[in-house]
Amino acid sequence: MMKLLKIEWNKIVYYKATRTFTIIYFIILIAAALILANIKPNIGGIKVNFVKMGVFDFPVIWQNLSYGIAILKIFIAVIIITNVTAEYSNGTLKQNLIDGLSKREFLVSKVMTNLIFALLSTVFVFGIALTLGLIFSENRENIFQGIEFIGAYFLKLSLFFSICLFLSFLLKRTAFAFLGLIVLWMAEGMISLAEVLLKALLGEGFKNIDPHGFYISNYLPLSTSSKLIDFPGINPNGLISGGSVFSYSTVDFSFVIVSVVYILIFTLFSYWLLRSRDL
Amino acid sequence: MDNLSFSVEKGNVYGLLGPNGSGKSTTLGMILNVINPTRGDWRWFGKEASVSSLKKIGAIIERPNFYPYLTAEKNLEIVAEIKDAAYKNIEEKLKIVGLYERRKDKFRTFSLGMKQRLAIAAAMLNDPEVLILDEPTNGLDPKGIIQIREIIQQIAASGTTIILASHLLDEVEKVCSHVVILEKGKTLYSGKVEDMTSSFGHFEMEADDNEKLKALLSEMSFFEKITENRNRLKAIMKEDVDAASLNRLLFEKGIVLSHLSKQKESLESQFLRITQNN
Repeated sequence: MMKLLKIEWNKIVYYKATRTFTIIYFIILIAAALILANIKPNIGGIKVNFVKMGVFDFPVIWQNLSYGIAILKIFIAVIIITNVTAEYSNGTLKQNLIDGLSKREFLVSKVMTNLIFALLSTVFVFGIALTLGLIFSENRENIFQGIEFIGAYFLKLSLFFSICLFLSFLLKRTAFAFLGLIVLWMAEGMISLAEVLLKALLGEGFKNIDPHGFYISNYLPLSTSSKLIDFPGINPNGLISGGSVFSYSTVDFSFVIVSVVYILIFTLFSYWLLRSRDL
Repeated sequence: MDNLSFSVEKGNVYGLLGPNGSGKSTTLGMILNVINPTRGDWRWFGKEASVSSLKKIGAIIERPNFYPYLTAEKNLEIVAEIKDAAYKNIEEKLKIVGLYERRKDKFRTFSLGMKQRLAIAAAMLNDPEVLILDEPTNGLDPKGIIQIREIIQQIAASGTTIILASHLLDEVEKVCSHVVILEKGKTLYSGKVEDMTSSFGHFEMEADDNEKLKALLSEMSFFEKITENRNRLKAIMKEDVDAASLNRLLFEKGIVLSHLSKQKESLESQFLRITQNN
């Protein structure tokens, strides 16, 4: 275990590019939150003050922040995909196996890297959310209500990274792995659209479509990842009165279960690819 | 690959010889766990093949594979972790291959010869019982080839079993004691290098009076055939004679040789003979 971590540490931390981008990622993570707290953008003539809107109020801050900052995961996705595909292009995967690393150990080392990146990001987001909440929130009671979103954030990143890992093993080339991610994303979008249209045509009618209703396509891999932390609920009264805009909601537990299943599936598929292919 | 089978004994240097595409790398890939054979098995050190047996083997396949952005030293640290080798071996092996001064330089700045030498250092890191080298001198300049050969001979002298795959005949001839010849995935020959031919070789001779020499040689019983080519006589032996006694014999009969050399049939001609027979 320690041995595998040490090997991965050497591969990632001593590579200037990955080291630099990892550091930049964590800096941006903090910077994004600080900027969000301090800017007052002018949107359509209305001065938007995120603090006044209640973005940083407990308990909605946990969902708001983990939702807003999740896009930065693409940084780590780049590092993960490059790290794995480079093992193919440099021939080092083959050499690692010849030197006596088992295919299982190789996969475990990559999965551990994913989990560590997800865990570190989660710790950062937790720290940032807690700090901003303590500074800006008007409500200081039950501050840990809604903290489940931090757990969901960890799961969300782990799922996304395991998809990246699988695509890297499947396609072996950095550019193609990203293309694969885009294709998956578009395919899921089209399937979702098809499902909505089908539902409308089969009786409900276009007027009665509920965007928050139940759709099977929500359980596709990338949709599951995004549904884990859904767009924060909006409180219409808040918009009118100028008070807190957000309403508190909880993590849909069905997506938690599906995420875990997907992580297992993608990891097993990765292992199967690694085992069955000649190098 | 087609029903290939051979075994390797400790302490010998084995050559795996065959033209490009004959299956040398595939064979090595299979026993090294990177290519899945359709069926068949192999044993290392008399035990079922496993990942831990790979740690007692050092292998370089086709080209040196390292992390280009890491230094020579860091690359070897990764190998040491995988092989459970002590870090102190890194310095020692780098010195053997002459790269100790360049240990802090990134792998991608190395010349091909240096990369290949680093690969040998990596393969030797755990003092393996078996060293597998696939085309170790491929693409190197003459100086690089000589450096690699010297290192290989040094390792062989220390008692390590070596399996050397190559399509270069003289390389195998210079380094190996045993040879397996492959073509299109089939074994054509497997055994000692010197047993490859039944003949005893031939003498090349030259004297002032070649006619008299030829007549004398024909009378002797050791030769099966004598041919002349550009003032040199070639006498093919049917039983073994050493050069000194032949020289003495001829001198006593009044012939002074200006040239005498005893030659074994070259591996190249044997190789061509074996591959042509099939």
